[in-house]
Amino acid sequence: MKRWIWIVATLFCVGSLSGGVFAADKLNINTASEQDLMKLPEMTEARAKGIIGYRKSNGEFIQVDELELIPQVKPIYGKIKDLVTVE
Amino acid sequence: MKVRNTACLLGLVLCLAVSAVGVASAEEEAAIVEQHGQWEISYGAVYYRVFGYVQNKSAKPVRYIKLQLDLVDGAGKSVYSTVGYNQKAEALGVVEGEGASNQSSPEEKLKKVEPLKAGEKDLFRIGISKDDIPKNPKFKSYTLKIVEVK
Repeated sequence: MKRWIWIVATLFCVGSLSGGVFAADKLNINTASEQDLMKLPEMTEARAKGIIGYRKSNGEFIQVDELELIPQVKPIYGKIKDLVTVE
Repeated sequence: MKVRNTACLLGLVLCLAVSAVGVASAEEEAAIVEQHGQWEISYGAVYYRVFGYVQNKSAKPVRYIKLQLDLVDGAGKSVYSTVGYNQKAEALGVVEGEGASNQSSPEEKLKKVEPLKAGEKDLFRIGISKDDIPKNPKFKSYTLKIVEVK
């Protein structure tokens, strides 16, 4: 019985930790630097500058969908939308 | 005392019943047949705009269909709320900023609105400036409902 409790507790801990890592794996586009953004697939310097510029002009992103408003980023939006977060 | 309490309770029940009938009848008289929300840039300003079509489902013409848009957070709680009208009745909306002082009365505005015929569909669009949307908590989705049909 004790053994089962330990197994369940261990599985729970592993599950929580992996969830945290996955959440942390998403890049926060409200705080990311140009260098951070460059780690995203198909991201170029111009695209990264576009994101930083949008943030400066319009304030922090409220939703990830706002990336579609940046002309340079729109073509790769589908490839990066699941890799980024706003909080 | 007991009679007073009972009367208060009855009054409350009656109020709730009347508002429920109001909402139900608004939903029976008109329907949202299509809707979509997206971010847009207009003249350099960022907006979240919800647009689509409403339809007069009643057998008689209606002057306007009034909608309520709520931006909701992850828990489903409204973080921002606004109202709008079908396109033909957009003049009924409140004008803010320049020109706000030159507005005609609601009755005057209503006279100028072209009614929607029975079964007719009309476009609607409700836009919210990004400056007005709370940054925290951030909204995740929206809810849209018909609140008045006249």
